[in-house]
Amino acid sequence: MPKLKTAIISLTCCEGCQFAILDLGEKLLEVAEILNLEKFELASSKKGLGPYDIIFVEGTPITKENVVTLIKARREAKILVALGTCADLGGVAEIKNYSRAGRGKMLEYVYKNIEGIDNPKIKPISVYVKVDAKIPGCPIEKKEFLKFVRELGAGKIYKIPDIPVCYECQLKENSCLLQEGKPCFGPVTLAGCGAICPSNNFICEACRGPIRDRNLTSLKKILGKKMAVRELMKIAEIHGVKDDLEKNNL
Amino acid sequence: MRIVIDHIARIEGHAGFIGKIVNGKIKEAKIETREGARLFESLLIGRHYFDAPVITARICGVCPVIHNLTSIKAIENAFEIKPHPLTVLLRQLMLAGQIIQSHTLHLYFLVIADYFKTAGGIDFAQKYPADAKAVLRLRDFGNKIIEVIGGRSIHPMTPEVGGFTKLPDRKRLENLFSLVSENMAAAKKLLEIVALMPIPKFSRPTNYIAMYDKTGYLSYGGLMHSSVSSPIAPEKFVKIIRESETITTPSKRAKLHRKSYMVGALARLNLNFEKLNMEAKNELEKTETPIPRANSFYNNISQGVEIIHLVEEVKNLLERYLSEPNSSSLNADYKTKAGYGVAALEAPRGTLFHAYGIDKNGLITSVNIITPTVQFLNNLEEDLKVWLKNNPATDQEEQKKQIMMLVRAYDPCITCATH
Repeated sequence: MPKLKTAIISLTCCEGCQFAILDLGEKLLEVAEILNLEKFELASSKKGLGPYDIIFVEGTPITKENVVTLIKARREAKILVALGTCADLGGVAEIKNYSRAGRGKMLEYVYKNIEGIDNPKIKPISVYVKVDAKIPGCPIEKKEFLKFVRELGAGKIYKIPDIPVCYECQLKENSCLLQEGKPCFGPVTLAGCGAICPSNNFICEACRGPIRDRNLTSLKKILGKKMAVRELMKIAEIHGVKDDLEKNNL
Repeated sequence: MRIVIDHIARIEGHAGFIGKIVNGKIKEAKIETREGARLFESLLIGRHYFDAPVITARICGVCPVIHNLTSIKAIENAFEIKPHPLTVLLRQLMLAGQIIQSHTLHLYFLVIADYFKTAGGIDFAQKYPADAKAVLRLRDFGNKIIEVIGGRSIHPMTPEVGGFTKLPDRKRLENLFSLVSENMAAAKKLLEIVALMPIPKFSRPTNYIAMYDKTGYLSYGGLMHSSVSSPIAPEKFVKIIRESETITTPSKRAKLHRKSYMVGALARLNLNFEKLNMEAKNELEKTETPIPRANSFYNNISQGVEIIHLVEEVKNLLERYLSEPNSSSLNADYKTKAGYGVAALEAPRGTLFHAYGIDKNGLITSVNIITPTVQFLNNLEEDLKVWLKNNPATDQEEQKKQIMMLVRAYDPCITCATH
């Protein structure tokens, strides 16, 4: 099979998902056997021209140029993949959508001169363009990226199994943070990260987004005795997944 | 004449360059950042302090550890918490891992291509597989240190106010220790490669600033030292930094007493090279470069020297930690209270400041974050002006290449600059 002509592009974000790819180290050479990285500006000055077989998009559109880049990417890509929580769900930037102060006030807190600074409501890239696949997480799990690329090499698009983080957490025989009364979002969050946060005695903050049949009501009931529901859902704001979790909840 | 570079590839984040030359006079030399407004400081207002280290780590994918730890240190200062000495030691190990991985990334993936006629690190690896393998393993070593202690190399989760949610597994620390010597060899190899790169002729003395104390080269605390004035405490320094906004982009720039200044590896090396560990000192001597240096291109070599210093430092720190008896928790006891805390730490690219006001319920009332790139952007632009003046273009494309090489030598992090 010929190599897939590939671009990895980035909207506004921390670029941690691209670094996760670079963190593959020697395995990057394996990636380079399957993907022809024609455009990967973080690590290369090659200036590939579209169209592409596949474009990975990291980050969230904040500036008008970001939106143009995204729409152009869609036109140029046979397959467009949302890379990481920002692209997939909004990410940390989405915290401002939930702020009581309002976006305008938040902008004024940081800048005296706010003229000409774009400050839109944060939305996942799927609101702007059709997305064919996603690799979620803040940051993405580099092994999952590699798996995705290997499947591409076999002509397939990897789909993450719809199971909760709790499943992977139990396999690791971790003690349950939820049972300790801590606000862990493991039961409602998509697995694939190897329950990396709970394994480090840190609550799952739902960065990979909800599983299909999430039961938020039951989670709220369990934790309702320990903390106000509003406080619980403030945690879900961190990665911009509060709205996604509440949408069509069981 | 106008010089326009739309996108400077191989730097962290998005930025371009605009220069204007009229009758041989440099009218303008501007770095234009192209990130959207991210508003991290206001994202934290009204949130629990627990969220600050988690959220601020997301400012930057290449230096999340330093944001995470500086945030924690500032909150600990607000609550007047004194962390356990071994907690500090583990944090120093993470910082070492952070700088090793960030510098290696910069030198290997971003800089080398300018000098070895490749498009980037992946290309280089295909051409020089043996060298590439050693250097990639070195970067991996930095990442592994962070992962073993912090839980994950990008956006670590175990560091928390007072200590760690979980202490590292001793076997994994012992394994890191066993990797020190091969990585010392790789670090020396990398400096050798970097030292092969011809250093463009350039000189513009400036104010070099770095934080350190008498304990060593990259310390966990200390005063802000300057090459032109006497040392002051970080909390005072933050008060005299003046940040200004540009009309066109949402990234700020800082000045000190109305002048630009430089932070980062070159600043640290110029101010504090006597404190380098033995091996780093020896290797620095071999590169035959004078000190202090007023040539910003030396930032690359300085980073290479720092990696060697830090690999040795990792060995020393691990030895000290592993000689202590096992402990189930090192966390400091503390009470949430109203307060204000400032902290500084040396990040890969220079001193990073975080400051928080916190109310009695532990909710954040004020935030100020000043990143290294914000501090050196003005200095970079002044360098660029002098560079353009001294090197009139014979070939436009070549001139653009040189501009980008100077920009890359600074290792700017545009995502940090637009926090």
